[in-house]
Amino acid sequence: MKEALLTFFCALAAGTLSAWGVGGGTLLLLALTLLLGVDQRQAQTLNLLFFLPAAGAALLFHRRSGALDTAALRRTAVPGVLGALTGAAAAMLLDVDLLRRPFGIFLLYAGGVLLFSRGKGDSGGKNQENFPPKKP
Amino acid sequence: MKGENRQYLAGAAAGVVNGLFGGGGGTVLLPVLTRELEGRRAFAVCVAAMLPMCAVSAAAGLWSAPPALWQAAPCLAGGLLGGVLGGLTFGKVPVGFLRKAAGAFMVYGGVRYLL
Repeated sequence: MKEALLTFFCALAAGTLSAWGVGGGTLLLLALTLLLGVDQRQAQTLNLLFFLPAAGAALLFHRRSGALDTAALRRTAVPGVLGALTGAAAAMLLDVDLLRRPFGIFLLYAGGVLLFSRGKGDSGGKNQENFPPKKP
Repeated sequence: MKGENRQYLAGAAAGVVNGLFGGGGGTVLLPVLTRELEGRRAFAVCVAAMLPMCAVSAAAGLWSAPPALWQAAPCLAGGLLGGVLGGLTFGKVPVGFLRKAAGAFMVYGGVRYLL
């Protein structure tokens, strides 16, 4: 029961951060493996499942505000799904320990992006001041 | 590289990362999208594009490494509630400090995975 509650609060915090664009999905994966001791592969599945309602809910708010660019969505989602199928197939074939180092390097990169970027895309950033764009 | 081609490439890279590591695709995609789109628009595209990528990767994960229901249920419930809370408060909360804290946690995680 205690572990389920801890998992819920981690997912709640990560879901909120995801909706704000602060890397919540990666954070939940780390919280599950490093803090709650969940097996790496199961944590990955949990993280992917978590993202579905979290992103679905956040997306409803963004769509309502007219922020969804469908052309850019097509350009990213179609190759993205093909890439996801490739990546998931590779993950199933490879030993989980083989992926530890590449994942560690990826985390250093992702952490560096958050630490050193100027915050373009922040939910509370300056770029939000002009949203929605003023009509000419 | 043209912006459109960059988006195709970033989408594919985000999918591979997400499928391989079980997350992190948004971290690859968002910086590319913010080069061409305004902040909230970039973010909305990023979230919407990650949804089908996560769905196919999650299906593969459920087949190869199914988690227990007591683990999956709080993740789904917490994710849904967090997504609603975050969506309602998007743009109202300054996230500069949170970005730095999340970045530091990821660097810590990276070091733990490398050691």
